[in-house]
Amino acid sequence: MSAASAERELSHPDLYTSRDGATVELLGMRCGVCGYVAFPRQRYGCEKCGATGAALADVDLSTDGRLASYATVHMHQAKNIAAPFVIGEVVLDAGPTVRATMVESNDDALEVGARVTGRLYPAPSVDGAATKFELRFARAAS
Amino acid sequence: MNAPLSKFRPAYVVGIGLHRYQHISETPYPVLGLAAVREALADARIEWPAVESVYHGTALLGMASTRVMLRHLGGTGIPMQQVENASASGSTAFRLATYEVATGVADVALALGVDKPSARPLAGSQTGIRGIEGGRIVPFTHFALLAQRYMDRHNATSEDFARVAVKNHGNGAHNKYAQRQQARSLVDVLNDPPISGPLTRLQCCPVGEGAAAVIVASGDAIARLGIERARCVRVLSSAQRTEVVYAESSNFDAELTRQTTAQAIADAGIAPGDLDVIELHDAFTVEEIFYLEAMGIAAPGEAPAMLRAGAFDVGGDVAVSPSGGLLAMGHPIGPTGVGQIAEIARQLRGEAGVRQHEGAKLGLAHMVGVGAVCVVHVLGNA
Repeated sequence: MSAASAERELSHPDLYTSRDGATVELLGMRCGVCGYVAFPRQRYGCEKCGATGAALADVDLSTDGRLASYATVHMHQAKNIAAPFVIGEVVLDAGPTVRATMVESNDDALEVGARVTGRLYPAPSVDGAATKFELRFARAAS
Repeated sequence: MNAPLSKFRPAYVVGIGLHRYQHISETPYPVLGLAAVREALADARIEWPAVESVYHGTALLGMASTRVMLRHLGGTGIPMQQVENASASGSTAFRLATYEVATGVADVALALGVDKPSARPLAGSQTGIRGIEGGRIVPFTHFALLAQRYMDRHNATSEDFARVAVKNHGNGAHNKYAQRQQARSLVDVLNDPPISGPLTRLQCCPVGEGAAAVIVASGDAIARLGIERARCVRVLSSAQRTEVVYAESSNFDAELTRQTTAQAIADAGIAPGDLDVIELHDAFTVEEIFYLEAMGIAAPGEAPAMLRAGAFDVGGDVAVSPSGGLLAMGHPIGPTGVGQIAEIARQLRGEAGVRQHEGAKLGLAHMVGVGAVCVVHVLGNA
């Protein structure tokens, strides 16, 4: 892949960001009343204590974490989602548990407990539009 | 506060009826529902005008489905309403009918479930909050992820999960109301097309169409209508909870099951080991393992060994999913929770034929629903 560029267009800029075009941060939130750290970011109210308004602060969360589980998905009903693919469940060092597609196309390379991190990965192009980049997780370089 | 059922007068299941669960067809839904209600009335040996209230569990039929179906029993003007609570819609309808009878609002109430599949999206996809997986995680992958965690933690194998399907398909083979009525071997289940993680097709429930009906009545109504007391089954407890933020966030269904079942069992004044029959939300094989451990039927990590030893067979320590469960009887959504109550009642009456768990006196019905809710009932011989 070409050198990292901060100009890469993201598939979901409302969910994650990248300052350097390589490492990815999740757009999360922290409740100032109970301390609950959550992803994705929302302003409806804290899911744990119900606090709202100024109590809810934006925080960017590191995508570094530990693989809690994974599954190879062999079929999917949606025509625009090609199977097989691998889904990972990641317990972020920052607190929340997230589930996302893995860069690895084969679960032989994965094990529960492995260190993983977020990567920008070229999303399947829709109708020949310019390639966007989506967040996937991959084993961290050891 | 949430007053337990035991605070009120006894409520009994007095009639049960079903339309077979089946693959989606051109059959209009009133045909399904009317068959189930007429069978339940005949089972109780009462007439339609004796019914004073209707709670209809349905998630997918659309607005105002009940009266246009039940008018064909002869309009009596009684209150009717739809109850939508995802997979627990039927269980919630039964809970509401039971509370209405227990609290004296009605003497005879009908809990009904009728549904046909549709492609309507879940409201959760329209909250304005989305995740990063881009629609790639559907329920079977949610449970595949939990299965992989369980395998890693307890050294379990894909065969441990597949054995749930072997047992439940075997039970469904003896149930004329089941969508899947074919016994399957361990090899059949493991060699079936892979779906997600360790789950093969036969380890995932079919979502089709069908109907289930249960008539709930008070002791007064049983005496007044001359209903046979020996065939009445008492509802001992009813518990319903919703998800909160748990320490271990990803297996919220199990945590929610643990709390809701504990409440239902305590309210019934029994212990988990007292149960003879359990119908639970086995939409995917792994769920039966999780929930039996969450309910306290098996210690953590021990359910697979108990299953292998036959503890959960009809005739074992406790018959689990004797109807075939969601895996074999099927999961038409609205009817499912009502159908569980029908199976428990049939077992406690001793009328389950080849599927009969001998001497069954206490039964538990459990459903979870996406969103996420859990409803548990304990029933006992009257």
